[in-house]
Amino acid sequence: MRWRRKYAKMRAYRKHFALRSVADNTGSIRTGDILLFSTFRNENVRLPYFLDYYRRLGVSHFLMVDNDSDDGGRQYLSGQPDVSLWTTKASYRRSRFGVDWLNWLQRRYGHGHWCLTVDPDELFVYPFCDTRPIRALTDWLDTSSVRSFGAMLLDMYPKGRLDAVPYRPGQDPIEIAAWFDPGNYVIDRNPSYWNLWIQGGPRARVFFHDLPKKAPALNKIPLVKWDKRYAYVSSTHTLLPRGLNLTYDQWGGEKASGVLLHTKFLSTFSEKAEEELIRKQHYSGSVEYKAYAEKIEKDPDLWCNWSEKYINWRQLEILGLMSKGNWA
Amino acid sequence: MSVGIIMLVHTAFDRAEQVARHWAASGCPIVFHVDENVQDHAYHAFVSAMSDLEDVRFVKRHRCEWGTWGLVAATQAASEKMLQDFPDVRHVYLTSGACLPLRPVQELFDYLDERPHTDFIESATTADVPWTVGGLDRERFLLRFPFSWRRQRFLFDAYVKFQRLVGYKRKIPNGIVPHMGSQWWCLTRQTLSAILEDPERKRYDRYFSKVWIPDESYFATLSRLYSRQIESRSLTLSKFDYQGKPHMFYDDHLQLLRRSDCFVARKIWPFANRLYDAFLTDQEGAMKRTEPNPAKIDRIFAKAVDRRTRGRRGLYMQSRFPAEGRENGVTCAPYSVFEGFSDLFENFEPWLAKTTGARVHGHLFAPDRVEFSDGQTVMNGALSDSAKLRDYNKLAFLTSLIWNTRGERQCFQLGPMDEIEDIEWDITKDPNAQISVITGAWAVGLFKSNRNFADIRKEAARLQQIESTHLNALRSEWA
Amino acid sequence: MAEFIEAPMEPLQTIIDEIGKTRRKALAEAPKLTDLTGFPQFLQSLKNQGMHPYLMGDFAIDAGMPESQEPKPKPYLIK
Repeated sequence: MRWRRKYAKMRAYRKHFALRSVADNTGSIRTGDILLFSTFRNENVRLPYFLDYYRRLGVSHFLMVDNDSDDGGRQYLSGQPDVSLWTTKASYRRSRFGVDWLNWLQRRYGHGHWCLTVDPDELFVYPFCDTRPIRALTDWLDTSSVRSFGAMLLDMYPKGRLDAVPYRPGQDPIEIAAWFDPGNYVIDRNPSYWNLWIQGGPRARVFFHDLPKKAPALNKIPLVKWDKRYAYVSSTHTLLPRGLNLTYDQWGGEKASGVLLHTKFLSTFSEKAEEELIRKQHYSGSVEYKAYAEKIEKDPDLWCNWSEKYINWRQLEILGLMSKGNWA
Repeated sequence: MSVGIIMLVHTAFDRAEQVARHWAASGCPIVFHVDENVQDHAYHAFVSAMSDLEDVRFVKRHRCEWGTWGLVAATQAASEKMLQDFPDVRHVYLTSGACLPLRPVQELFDYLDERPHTDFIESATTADVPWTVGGLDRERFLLRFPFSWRRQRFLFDAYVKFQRLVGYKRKIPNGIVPHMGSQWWCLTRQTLSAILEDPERKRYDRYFSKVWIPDESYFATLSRLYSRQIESRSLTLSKFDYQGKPHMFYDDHLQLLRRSDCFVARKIWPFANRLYDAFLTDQEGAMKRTEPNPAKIDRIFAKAVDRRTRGRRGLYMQSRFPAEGRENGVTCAPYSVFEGFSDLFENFEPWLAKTTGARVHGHLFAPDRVEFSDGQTVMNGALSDSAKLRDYNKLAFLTSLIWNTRGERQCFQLGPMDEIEDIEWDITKDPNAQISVITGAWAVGLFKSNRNFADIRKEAARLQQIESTHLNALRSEWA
Repeated sequence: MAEFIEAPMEPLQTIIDEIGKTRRKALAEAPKLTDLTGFPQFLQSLKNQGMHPYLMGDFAIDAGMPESQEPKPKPYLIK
């Protein structure tokens, strides 16, 4: 495992030369600041709400990598004082889907900080997030000597056609993509890395019911008290050292966990899907995107009469999708 | 003023100052102890910040680490200073920088004035105390603990093992009976000074300095020797998690804290602005003489411990994935499995639904698709009727179904023609599964079918074999 | 199966009671038994074809009605 970690770090080092700094505000980072890391391409319409959401939660600084956007996103972000931005034309796929770039940045700037690594379409929800800023969570994790916090992906979707309501910048995406699948997830344990492998939700139900094994992984560990020695292995599903992946209890109890509201399925989706098919930069050689393209054309409705409408974190906790663990 | 406040501080100095000023405004003298681990510049800044107040003292700094003697030494030093410099003080209240007064200070004065000889200190014998962090209760007092539990765990554990091995047992000085309790006390001058001036104090200090977590037992034990009247409870509200660490209070606990019958609460998250504002400024409004209901607070934190240690039975999720044998129950609620009934009775499923009010499914594990009740293609939780999805992880499918439908009894049909591999044993072992079998009834289906007799005969043999194995499994589990 | 058909109401009552837990009133109506005419002959045909069907219990051919002789596996009720 140590070798795998060294390999990850070496890759990060080699790939980082492809990154070019666009705006460097890292001087304003203070001890104790909570940092957010993200890679994106052409997400300009999502960025205003994204920044606003995480600022309100208490993120102090955003470190972002733009993968050659041409929709104005780069310009928008370079004007923000709490954002440090890098850009690259290199292949997303060959940097292990952005992981190499972020590992480099995390090593450089994240050591000793709580680091939240999310995509622009992921909104982090944790217990008591409506009354306690993210600093309360990280302080509590610190006193409990916990270094990593799990939050599974929860695919959100609208009722009806995906493109029925256009998404406007600054809008809360949950207003449109308000529904999710409450209880059709399967879990297995990865014996090599010790993380839990979670599949299910609407993508498995609608796109992968004939090939369940290929359904996308929903397990994520986005919040980590970073150390130079750490590295993400594949997206934010798995970390090294392996102990960081033990965000679950194996003796019948529950550890605290959160959720990432995944707002991928908005009106912007079909354009992105088409673009990704051409670029072939995504996981599984775009098997996922091919499946989407086929299905979306014929019947673009993910909603079913057992879909649940999102209210707040307490609802998710009661459903059993996340847990307060020992926090009260 | 008759009540003196000792404050042990190591962080969040702005909050400590805010609370200290609050006490001082009511006339309480304050003695500070600042942890030696705090950097000098922060210490000096704090001292000068408090320099405008008259009745404030700072004592010699000790290194305070959880579970070690430093905390007691600090308390002793501060107590001595308090008793010496402020002769009017009759009760001394020990607090930390993360404590917050919940009730108007005058209320505390009145309360203590009415009980001038009472010591408020939680003090219980080890046999009566339910908590033990690290599994050591009586042994705290019978073994020696020179190593830090936090920083030198290996040595700590090794030395404990060694002492147990050689059967080492310390002698407790003067046969005092060890007691334990919360270290946040409110003692009378009489009792406190008796402890500090005890001619045997050196012996006691030597003994307790090698006791584990001495601040939980030093004063609790020795006050029993001198107190005229002990009320074994702390006036400070403090709840602990399953690891023995104190819970934090946040802004959303405001209403809860108003229900406490304690005078002070800890620990408060330093950024809980609403709490500090409410209790320090709008005192009258904050408490409004609400009827204390401390049980509610207890319940919430007890539930939190329960959630962390025992979890929700039958739920498998991203932070609860019990190893085999540790599930505390594979499914969360009882359900019923019927084998052969729907073959023998024409209207069994609707009849069962009508008679019991339960949700009745067809063959959930049928080869082609999941036969949900009423022909539905999706079920609670958005479970799909796709056989492939179901078979990808049959146990997850079943436990999810039972979890998603809690409150409504589920019944389903099962038979030898179903895909029962991988799930058969789970259902058989599950105490929540009520299984009823009419053996051989599957033959009726074959009897009524319009197939080639040769095929029927082959199929019958196959199904009989499957059911026979299944019955053996059921019998072995039942016996 | 055979023995069950002889007296289905009692086991059904027990099962239903356990589901309901509180409801102990007698079952108002029974579920409708399917038409089993010719079933004993069916079993015999299977026997003639070399199979050994035993899980169903004894169905006497001429009487056309089930007949139980030795105790056969009864319906299982776990708990």
